[in-house]
Amino acid sequence: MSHSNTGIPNSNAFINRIITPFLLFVVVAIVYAIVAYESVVVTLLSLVIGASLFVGYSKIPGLKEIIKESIRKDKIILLVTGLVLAIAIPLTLRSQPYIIHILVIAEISIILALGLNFQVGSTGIPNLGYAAFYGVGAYASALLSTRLGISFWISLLAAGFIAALFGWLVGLPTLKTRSYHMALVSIAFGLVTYIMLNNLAFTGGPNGIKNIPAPEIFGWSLFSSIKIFGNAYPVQLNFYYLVLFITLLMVVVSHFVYNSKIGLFWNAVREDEIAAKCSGINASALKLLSFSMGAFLAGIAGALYAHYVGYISPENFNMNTSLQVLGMVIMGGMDNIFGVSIGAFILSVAPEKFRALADFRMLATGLIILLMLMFRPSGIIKQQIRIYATKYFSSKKSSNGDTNG
Amino acid sequence: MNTFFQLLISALLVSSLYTLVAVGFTMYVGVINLANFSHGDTCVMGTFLLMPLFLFATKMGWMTPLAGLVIPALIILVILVTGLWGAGIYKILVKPLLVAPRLILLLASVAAGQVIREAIRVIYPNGSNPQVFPKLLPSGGIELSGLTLGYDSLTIIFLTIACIISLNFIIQRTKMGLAMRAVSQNSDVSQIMGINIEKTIISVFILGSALAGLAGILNGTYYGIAKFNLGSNLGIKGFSAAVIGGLGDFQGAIIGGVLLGFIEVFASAYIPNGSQYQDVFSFLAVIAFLIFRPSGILGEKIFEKV
Amino acid sequence: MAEPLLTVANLTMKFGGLTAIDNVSWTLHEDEILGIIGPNGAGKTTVFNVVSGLYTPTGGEIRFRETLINGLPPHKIAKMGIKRTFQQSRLFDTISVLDNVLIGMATISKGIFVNSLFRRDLLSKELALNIKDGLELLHHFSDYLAENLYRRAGDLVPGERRKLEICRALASNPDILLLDEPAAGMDPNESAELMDDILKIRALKKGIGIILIEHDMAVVQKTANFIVVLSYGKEIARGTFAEVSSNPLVQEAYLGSESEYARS
Repeated sequence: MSHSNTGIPNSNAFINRIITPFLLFVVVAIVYAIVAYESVVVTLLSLVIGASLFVGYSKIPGLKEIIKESIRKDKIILLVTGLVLAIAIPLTLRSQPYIIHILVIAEISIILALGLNFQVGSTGIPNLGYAAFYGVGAYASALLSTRLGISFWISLLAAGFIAALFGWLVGLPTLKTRSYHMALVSIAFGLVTYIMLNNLAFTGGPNGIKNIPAPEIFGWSLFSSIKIFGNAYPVQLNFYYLVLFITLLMVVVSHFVYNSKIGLFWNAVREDEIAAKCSGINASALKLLSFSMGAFLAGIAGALYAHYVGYISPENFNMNTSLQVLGMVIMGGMDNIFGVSIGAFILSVAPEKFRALADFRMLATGLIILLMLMFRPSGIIKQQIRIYATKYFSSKKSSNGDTNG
Repeated sequence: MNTFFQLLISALLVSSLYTLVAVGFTMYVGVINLANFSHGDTCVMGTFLLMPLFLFATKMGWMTPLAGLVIPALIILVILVTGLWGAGIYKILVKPLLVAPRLILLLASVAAGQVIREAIRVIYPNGSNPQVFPKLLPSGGIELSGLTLGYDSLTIIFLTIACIISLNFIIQRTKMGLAMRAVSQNSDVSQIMGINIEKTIISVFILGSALAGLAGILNGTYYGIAKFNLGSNLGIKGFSAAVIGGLGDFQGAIIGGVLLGFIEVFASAYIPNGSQYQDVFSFLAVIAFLIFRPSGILGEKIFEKV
Repeated sequence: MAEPLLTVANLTMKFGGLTAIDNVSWTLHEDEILGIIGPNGAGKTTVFNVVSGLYTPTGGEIRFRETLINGLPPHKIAKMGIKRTFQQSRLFDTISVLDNVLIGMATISKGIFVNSLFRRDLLSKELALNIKDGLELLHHFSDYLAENLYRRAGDLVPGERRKLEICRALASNPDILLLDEPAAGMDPNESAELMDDILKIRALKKGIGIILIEHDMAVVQKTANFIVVLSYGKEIARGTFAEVSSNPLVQEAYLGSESEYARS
């Protein structure tokens, strides 16, 4: 492989290097067109271009390999391109605060889906009451800031840890039982949380909590709009960047977890719990870790949602929400961080695009999960083999020649 | 004394409903080790199938002279349809996924339940709102020293007992029942012994779903309303009852159903503000069982096959 | 005299009314290969399940060196240095060959939570060491595995699966290795290779004690130093291969089982 690559002329190598960032740019442009323009023609046209690109990607020989190679080699270029786009795009949406709002919800959904992915994707634990942890985080942070006047940043972290504690508690009774018991306990927890939020006095009952204060950064409230070159931008933009920052942080955390002994041992538990235990893995501890870490992300997402929208009620955190997040994980690709993020993006943006069909949203979610599981259980982007950096093999090479190039 | 007696009757009624759901659940777990999370929604399907049929029969004027014949016929029709639905679920959904990891099948059954639920809501006219369920069972009742025993309540309890007895007969005394028990014990060996596994599993799905259909109808008559989203709750209660009794055990499901019904009704009655937290009590009960006796009341200690 | 590694005394395991292991005792020493043989249903695999902590024995005791280990959870027993393979090899199928071996090193992984999130440098160091050791181990048993590190374990042929399972168990340098019917489903060539592999383990890991459950008598004869014969959970004979194979009780037990085979 490496020999044939060095034989390619320079211009070709240059094209190989920029092709992936270029494609990323094109894909983002298509998505942008679909999301930002309220025109059926634009939407259809973009979808057609997107589909033909996808066909081209799978049909043109060698393109797949070139792209994979380029993704592997030029990760940094790709990441920088993606980051620049993520920062620049909302600046073009000054007159469309609703689109920015959709993007903020998409970011929160990515955090949610990454957390559920720890459990369903990496560890193979069915969690069907995930929205409850999202709700616990949202209520915890909302109560802390409205009742006790605690600052956003502290209540954000507190929300994560309180949700994690709940995750740990919910995990406890199912350690020695089977996966369907976990499904039962998680659904039950989801329903109980919903009932409690509706009936307890301090959570505001069905009316929920109103007037949750906006976050402040060094005394500056995110509810005040910023001006760039004299143009005032909608306040949603402030939240977009705040949530973007935290989402990226969570993506990095997920990436660290996946590419570490935790992610690896979670996979072992998922594949064969008995073999994992006999290999020396403390399966119970790892399952609890998966519960807690997943719930932690849900709690963070909940706090962000509460402080962004300013109003929460039990209806935001019912069984439907749990299933939507489950749909994101399954559609995107279980145990694949990038895939899960894409699934979260699609399933949170698409319903806004098809608002006319809002009545069918939950039916569609159910059908998507069902059809994906039946025909493509690995999701849009399937779980990848962990590739270890070449530096780990260096000592081997010096002694025994290059056997794994 | 009077209220206690009334509570006893409602506990028996709720128990009946939970038992009918739990029996199906436990049978699926018994034969293919699947927790079918669309089971509760199959019940609601029964509820929502009966209503248009009843309206149709009323419109056609069949009810006035022949209500005593038409209503049982309608109920049997609905049970047959849900039974067939069960066979369809097995053929289309479960069978192709039997080779996949169990998690996939479990999630698929959850999604199937969601699809049933939402399809009902979208298809049924004004389906998002609660519907008035027709009065199927005779009104009036027996007066016993100042206490009323409604005919409708008696019918529900009687029907449940009849179903359980016939099902017990099928399982204990017929060839099909023998096959079911054999497959529950060890499906590989059963196959070698010449048992048609596929046929056995399908009959379990037909039986379980038919009972679910009946449970849905009885649930509708008992509460007098039908809601598209009752299924998830009903399914979870059935599952909880099966877990409490001992998952995979037929008699366990009955014991679990009865226990859960009593816990729910009496806890709601005697604990202040209890009725708001009715579901919470059942779930606390099942979690207590999972912690202290995960194999349930009748279940034996599980030894993982290695 | 070699040190005793594993001492099993009056071990009994009952499942409800069924007694799977009935008052069995034996000792495994360092550098020894102990063969456990017996007809199907003799309780051989149950012995492994009890020793590896999957079941808690209902009677008797199991000692690793001096320490009583019955009732300990499997991961603690693995951490003490007792590793096993399974009759139907149980690899982690959707992940790679290399990852399977790395999971085999679970007991020697340190601070997995802190290192994964906050000390990536330590994780890096550990991984470098793990991968170096894992590669070396794989090379000893199969160049194919060592050169196909990123192949999914589920895509391997049965012979390679068996080798990978042995490597996974050996990855943490255990003191005791339990091999559950490694030759099951193998042709004579493959079992011959397996014998070499078993002897190789002993050469590679000084002092390791191996317990081998096996139906393939050629493998047992060639590798085991000492043999215990079980039938219906009870010990019916013990000694060298020559001793047990000439024992009339053993012959009877096996003939009985032969005729059972013939019927099914």
